[in-house]
Amino acid sequence: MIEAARVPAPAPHTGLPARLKAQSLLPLAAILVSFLAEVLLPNHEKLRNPDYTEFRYLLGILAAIFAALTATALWEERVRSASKSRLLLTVSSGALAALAAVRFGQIGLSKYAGFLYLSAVIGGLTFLLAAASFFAGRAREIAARPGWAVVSQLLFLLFVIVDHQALGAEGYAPVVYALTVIDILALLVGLVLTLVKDLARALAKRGVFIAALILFVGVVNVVTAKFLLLPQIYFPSISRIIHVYREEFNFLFLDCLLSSFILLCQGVGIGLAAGVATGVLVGWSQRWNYWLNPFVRILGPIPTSTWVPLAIVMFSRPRSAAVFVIAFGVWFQISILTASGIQNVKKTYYEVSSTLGATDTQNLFHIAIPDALPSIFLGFFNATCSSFAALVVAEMLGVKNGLGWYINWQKEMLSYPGVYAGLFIMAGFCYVFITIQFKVRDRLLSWQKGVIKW
Amino acid sequence: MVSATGAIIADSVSKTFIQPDGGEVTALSGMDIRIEPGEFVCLIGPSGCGKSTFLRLVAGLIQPSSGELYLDGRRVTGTGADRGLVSQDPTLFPWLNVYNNVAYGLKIRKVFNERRADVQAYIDLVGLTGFERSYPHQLSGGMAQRVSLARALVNEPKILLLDEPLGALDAFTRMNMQDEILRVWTERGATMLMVTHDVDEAIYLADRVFVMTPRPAKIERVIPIEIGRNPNHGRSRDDPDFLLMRAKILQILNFTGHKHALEYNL
Repeated sequence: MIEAARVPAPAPHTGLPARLKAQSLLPLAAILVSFLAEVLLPNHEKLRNPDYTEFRYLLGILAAIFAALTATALWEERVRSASKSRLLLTVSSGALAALAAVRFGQIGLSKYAGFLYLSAVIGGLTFLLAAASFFAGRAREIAARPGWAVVSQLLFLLFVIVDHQALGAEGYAPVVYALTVIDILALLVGLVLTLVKDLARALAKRGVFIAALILFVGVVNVVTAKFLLLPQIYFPSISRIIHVYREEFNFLFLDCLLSSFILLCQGVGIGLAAGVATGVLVGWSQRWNYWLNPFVRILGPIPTSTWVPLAIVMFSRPRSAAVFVIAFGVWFQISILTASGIQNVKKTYYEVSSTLGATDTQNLFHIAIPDALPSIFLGFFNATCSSFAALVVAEMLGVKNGLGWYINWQKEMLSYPGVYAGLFIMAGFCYVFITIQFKVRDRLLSWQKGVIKW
Repeated sequence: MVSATGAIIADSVSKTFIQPDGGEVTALSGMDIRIEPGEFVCLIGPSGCGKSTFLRLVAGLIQPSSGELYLDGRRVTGTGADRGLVSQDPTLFPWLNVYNNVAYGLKIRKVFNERRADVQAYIDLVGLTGFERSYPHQLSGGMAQRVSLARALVNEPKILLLDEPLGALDAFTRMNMQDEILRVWTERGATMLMVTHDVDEAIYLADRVFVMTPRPAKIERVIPIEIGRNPNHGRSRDDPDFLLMRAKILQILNFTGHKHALEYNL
């Protein structure tokens, strides 16, 4: 009896369960099917001249990535966990900071010096953290997070591309080349070693979904390029869409994406500041509520696009008008939710705070605003989502740049591959923007886990 | 150790609330109370008799409709850090962890840097060592109530207003907390004004018990508890005097002998 009650010893780690291993194979199978369809069936698309084969490259790259991940998933127990690789990442950031310093000395303030600054600062910080991590526990924790290094590397890569485009290859001394290569290698090795197990696990769990997605893309390819089942003008083949990225990479990413990003940051930033200020005033003070609330209620719900004619008149520069249009929608949503958040603070919090010696002003900053933060973030989230729509409208205002403008321009040119190319960037852009926001929220509002859900 | 300050004088204090429909409800009428510095007073009585209203008046959260309320000879006009309030609902700030909840009063009054060590001392005092980084939603009801007590105590108020602070606790935690409160009182010497529903609790803790009756809300009787306290904890709960005192209070509150017997109906 006693023997039977004994808890069995934990089995040695045997990697993922068989079902997950099988799932991790599915994406590779889907890639194979799509590839066979692409290669074996003849192309019929008349607008493809010369014959684009980008889809094959895409499948090739995907096959390489998924082969590595699937292998990791299948033999997970043999893959070593990578803690040293994180150090590698931080060291690579040190190289980056050095490189950025060298380049900065060489070119000084150029058009893209902002990137350089950012990447140098973040790289330098990461490097300092890595150095400090040998002495302090907390610093070691932070230095072990690959996020820092990844951000600095991305900025750096962006810089290298821009820099190379602007100055040409002559600007590059051999030492800079060497540092770049070392840095990128260290980054890649570190990144792969750090993330490969997590990625492989994610792949194994989402294998069916990823496979279905790849198959869908394969079917779209067959429908558009092989059998011409849809109007060619509006539904171009995948190869043609990818071709747009190859041809217009600089314009799409460095002009349009950057321009949209900056416009959005300006609009959302101004709207956020104004919205929180208005919301706090309306929610906190009876007198401000009396004067401001009618304006918020009457002006706020007016759709963003309605402001366009007025915005053009009010601002001399089209760019300012565009910022205004975005900021306005953001302002309204945030001020409404901030005000409601502040009005809904439990009265007993103020009472307790007062009996502990707080003044009215202290109650505002130490009770009302912290307690309203979840609500403010909800408003910020809603506002960000609708600001993407406002962005497209704003870019019509004579700002001949940006993703929204690009998509419209391509549509008018009946160049639908460009439309799709722009749409995908837009989707990725919005996704990243929202994700960052959620990360910030989770960090700022860690206390509300288990208290408030939305 | 009795501090020289913390005297409360109520001079025919009344409080009338106006209902949304225009009707008036008299929560308190003509309260005349004199509480000595460093005294432990319990207010006892059925619900709705204005006990909490009186506490809120002393705290300065509400103003009397008529009459005057004095604290150390000065009229009470608003809240102040010299009167700490602990209510039945712990009302911890959910966005602050235990440490910062306790430190709140010190930070607000900008004395945190000088008195940093006291925060930990009071967290230790209420037995929450090791929970400094926990957030309120991770605490049990008893723990949260102890944080609330520590948060009021760290301010070292002259008067501690306790509005059924142990009402929501289980019997064992409750008895422990009663001893904690007594210990704090002996060490700090603050005036204690506590509202409770529990006759035993009142007799166990108080120097004097004010028995209140509802409609019209007033103090029916002031009963000094002249049973000696044990040096390390409160009065013996099975002392014959204790039982006698309880019977007396229950009688004033109109609980008959029949109801009295129910208390032993385990």
